[in-house]
Amino acid sequence: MSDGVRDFLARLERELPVRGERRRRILAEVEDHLLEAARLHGAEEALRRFGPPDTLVRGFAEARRRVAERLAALVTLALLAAPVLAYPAVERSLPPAPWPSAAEMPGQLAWKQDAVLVLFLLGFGAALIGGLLLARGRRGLAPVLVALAPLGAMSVLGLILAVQWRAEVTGTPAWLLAVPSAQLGLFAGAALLLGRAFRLGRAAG
Amino acid sequence: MHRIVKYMYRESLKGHLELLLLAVLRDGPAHGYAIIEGLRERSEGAFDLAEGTIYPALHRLEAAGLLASRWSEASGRRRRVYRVTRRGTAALSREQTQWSDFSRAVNLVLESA
Repeated sequence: MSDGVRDFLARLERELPVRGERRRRILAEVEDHLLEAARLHGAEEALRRFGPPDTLVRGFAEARRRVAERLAALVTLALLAAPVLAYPAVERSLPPAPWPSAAEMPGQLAWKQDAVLVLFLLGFGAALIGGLLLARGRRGLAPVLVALAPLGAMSVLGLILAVQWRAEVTGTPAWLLAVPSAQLGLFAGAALLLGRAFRLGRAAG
Repeated sequence: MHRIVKYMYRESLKGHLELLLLAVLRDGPAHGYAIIEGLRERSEGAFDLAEGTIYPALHRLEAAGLLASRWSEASGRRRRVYRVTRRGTAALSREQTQWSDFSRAVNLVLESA
C-alpha cells in the first residue's frame, strides 16, 4: 500500500462520522476500492479519481443527519404522547386529595400543575406547527427544537410536582414518579439526537 | 464547458446518481469499483465523477431497501458486493418512466427554442 493511500485511509478513519460495524465496513470498502484502482492506474491516479476524504465524510454525515433528525422528531412525538397515555392510569391510582376543593390545593402544587398543563399545550401546538411545516416540505431542526423546549420544561417541572405531590398526599404510589422520569429520559434522548443532528449537519456542510 | 453549465451538469448528475447506480446494478451484482467503472463505460466517459461519492449513495440505497450487499471473497480479498433487490427493480422501473417523461418534456422545450 502506498503512503498516499495509507494517509488517505488514516484521515478518513479520523473524520468519518460513523461508528461501529458500519464504520469498519466503509473503511474496508474504500481500502479495497483504492487498492484495486491503484493496481490498475497507480496510487496517485487512484486517489485523484476517488476525490478527497471530505467527499465521503460529507456524504455520510448528511445521511446520518437525516436519520438523527427523524429519530429526534419521533422521540419528541413519544414525549408528547407519554402524558396523554399515562394520564388515565395516574388518575385511577391517585388517592383522594386531603384538601376539600381544588381551590384549596397547596400553592406550590397548584401553580406547578397549571404550568405543566400550559407547557404541554405549548409543546403540542409547536409540534403541530412543526408537523405541518415538515408535511409542506420544510426541513431542518427548528420545528423539533421549538416543540422540544416547552416539553423539556414540562418534564422537569412534572418530576418536581410528582415528588412534592407524593410528600404532600399520603398513599401516592411510588411508581407515579416513573411517568415524569420516563418523560425526562425521552427529553434527554431527543435533545441528544437533536445535538447529534446539528453536529452532523455542520460536518455535511 | 462553461462554468455554469459544468455546475448544472454536476448537480444534475448528483441528483440522478442513485437511479444510475440502480441501472448499472440491474445487470448483476458488483462491488464499488466495478460499479463506477460500469457507470463510466456506459456513459462513454461522460459520467466521470469523484469515485468516493458513490459509497454514501450505495449505503443510502441499501438503507432504503433498494439494494442488498454481502461480503464476498475473491483472490484472497474481501469485497462488498451489491445487488438490486425486488423493491429496487420496481423503483428503477418507476424512476425510468418518470425520467423518460421528464427528458422528453425538456427536449420539447429545448427544440422549440
